[in-house]
Amino acid sequence: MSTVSIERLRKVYGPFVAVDDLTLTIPSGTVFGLIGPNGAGKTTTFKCMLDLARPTAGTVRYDGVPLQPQAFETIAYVPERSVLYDWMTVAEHIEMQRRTYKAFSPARALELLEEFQIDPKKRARSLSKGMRTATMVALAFAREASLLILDEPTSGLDPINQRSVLNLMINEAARGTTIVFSSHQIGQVERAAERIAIIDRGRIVLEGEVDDLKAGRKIIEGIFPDESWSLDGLDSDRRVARIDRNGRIVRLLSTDAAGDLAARMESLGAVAVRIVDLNLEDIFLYAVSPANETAVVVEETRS
Amino acid sequence: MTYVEWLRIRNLLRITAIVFAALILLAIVLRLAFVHNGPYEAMVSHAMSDPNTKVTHTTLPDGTPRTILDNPVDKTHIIIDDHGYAGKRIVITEPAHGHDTNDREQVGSVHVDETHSSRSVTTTIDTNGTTDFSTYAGIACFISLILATILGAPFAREADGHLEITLTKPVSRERFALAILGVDALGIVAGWALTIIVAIIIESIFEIPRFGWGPNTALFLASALLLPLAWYALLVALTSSMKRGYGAVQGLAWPVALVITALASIRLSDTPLAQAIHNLFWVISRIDPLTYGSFKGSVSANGGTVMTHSSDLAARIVILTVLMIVYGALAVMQWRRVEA
Amino acid sequence: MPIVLTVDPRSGVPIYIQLIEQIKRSVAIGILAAGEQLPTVKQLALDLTINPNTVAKAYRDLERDGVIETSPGRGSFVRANGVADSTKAAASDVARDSIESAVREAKSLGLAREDIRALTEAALDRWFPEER
Repeated sequence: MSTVSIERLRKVYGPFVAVDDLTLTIPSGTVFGLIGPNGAGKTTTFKCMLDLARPTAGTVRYDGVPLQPQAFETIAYVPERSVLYDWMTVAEHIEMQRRTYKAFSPARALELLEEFQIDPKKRARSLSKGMRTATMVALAFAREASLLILDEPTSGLDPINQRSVLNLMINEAARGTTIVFSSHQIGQVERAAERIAIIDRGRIVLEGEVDDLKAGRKIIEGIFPDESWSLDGLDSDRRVARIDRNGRIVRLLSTDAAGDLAARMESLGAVAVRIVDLNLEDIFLYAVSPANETAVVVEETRS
Repeated sequence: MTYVEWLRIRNLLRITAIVFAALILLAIVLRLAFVHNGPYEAMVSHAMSDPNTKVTHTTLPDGTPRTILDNPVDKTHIIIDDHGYAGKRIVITEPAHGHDTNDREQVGSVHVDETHSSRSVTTTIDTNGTTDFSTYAGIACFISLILATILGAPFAREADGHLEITLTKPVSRERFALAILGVDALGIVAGWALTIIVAIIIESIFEIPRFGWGPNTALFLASALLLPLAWYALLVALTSSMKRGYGAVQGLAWPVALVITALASIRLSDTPLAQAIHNLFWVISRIDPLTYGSFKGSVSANGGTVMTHSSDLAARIVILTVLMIVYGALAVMQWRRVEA
Repeated sequence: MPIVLTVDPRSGVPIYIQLIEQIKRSVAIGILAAGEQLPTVKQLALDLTINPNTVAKAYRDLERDGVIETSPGRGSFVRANGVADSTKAAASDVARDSIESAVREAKSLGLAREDIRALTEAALDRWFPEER
């Protein structure tokens, strides 16, 4: 079981910078969620982690050591798109895995395929997109991997199968497996992940424990008597990540001590001050959306 | 880790075996259809159509039927001994016609012997003589070249949407690449051996297979086995960095290689430009395995093909081995740098 | 086991805090009796479809607060002796948070202290009629 350390990862494809100066540590045994808009660099990050792509700069280390081919005995990967061989049956894919990895249980694979209602005798080309994803998930979870890297593992699946995948992940997490996954379903990330990182345009914009982020990040909303009221001092407060002004309504995005900040707002003259809890989706949207015209982004802090 | 490639080869050999089975069936049908209507019977009928020909049928002491065709007008005398499954022996005596070198030719199992005297030339044809093993090897080489072409883009096929599986196996990229090349090579060799077996089977439907083994046969066999392997290695080297469009390379490789060979062996005109083109293609043809794939008896003045003397064969074997290894290495080197 | 725990992952309240509050409330109301066994971390995580470490964190905090105790190998149980105190403490925690929220909301809507007190008295009258 190893800790994955990504240091200042940079990957460019010609003129396009997919990932830039990305630093991340994934502690062993954690469930780590990676969220971000399409094209943010999640898949590129996974590819660099697995030596599927060569970083332009930066390093990826497993317990301090670069990835060795032998490590793949205990690393399982579910890519974002189907990589199955169209002309082979699902059963032949199972046989392929059985011969490749020491720790692979064909019985478990068949069990999982049955749960997903996939017939092993079918050729991959006759499977729908969701069923292909489910097949790759089954093949990955039938291995005794200590690190699972899952890129959109529920895409194309119906809600029942999505829940099955989530349960598989939780089962693995209970066994101490390290899981790194990306998903557009923030609800799934909220349930399964302990730590998350938000990626946007190739950079990490926010990282931390889900509970800490939820506990610390709040919106403090207040209404000032008129538009020119000063925010004296608030914009330089370390605990304020962002200020959005919309006429007389001011909203602060706090990273901590929401109560204090609310009190300060009141002392500056705001009324109807309230503290709004943010769920992960809100936190994510704030992290990746540009500030509106009248807003001041004071700093993007990282917990 | 080479399971997928094994499956591909199994499927390919299965199709090959089905085609071979169909050919064997066809041979059986032909044998049954032409038992009494073969080319020699046609020759006899043609000769018999000449009103001056006298036809005599006798039987030799061992029971062999003999047909004698005598034409006193053009002084042609033909004796045909029909040994049935053991072939036919035909002796043709005709007036001399100018060429006075004795000659001996062998095509497959048909031996033709021409002896000249001052006034006549005697041609003896033995339809079921020995077949030098090189003949079978030559056929096997041709079929294996086809198999090699079909198999010739293993890394490109993996790169075409499967790298996430292929590059996450617990073996180094080099080891995986070499294993794939090894497996494909075994498949080509298996196809080669299968072709020889099938050729012998088909021959034995028509006549007794009699194997000949000449002084150069072993060398020829080796070169006939190395040629498809070197050709395979070339194709792999050309396609290793491709993810799409590799099918076009596989399909066009043969015609392009033959054009190169052709341009290397002929000179279109005497202009310096034609000479330059010729020289350029001559150089390119040196690294084209098909250049070394001529069969017995083909000769060209400009070095486009090579005569089959033993020293030339030995040189051919060395060059093909070197090409095979170099192209294989180039392929592996490219595979190391592939990205998903 | 009769207890039904639910969590809302989409809420802004961290899941482990929701779990802690629900268990405390269950103890306070009596749905969770003294000495009763709680589900294992893994089982609860699977039942609720949440991360096992989240459950573990909640259990740790509950143990620190004296509401439950965990014996390795046997599981987690509601504390027998601490129940009375922790019941009251748990109830107070939950109630305090509600009341504080209500007061802040009322104030932010512009009500004065006296107005809020009047509302509170009215509510007490309604819910403790015999003590009016």
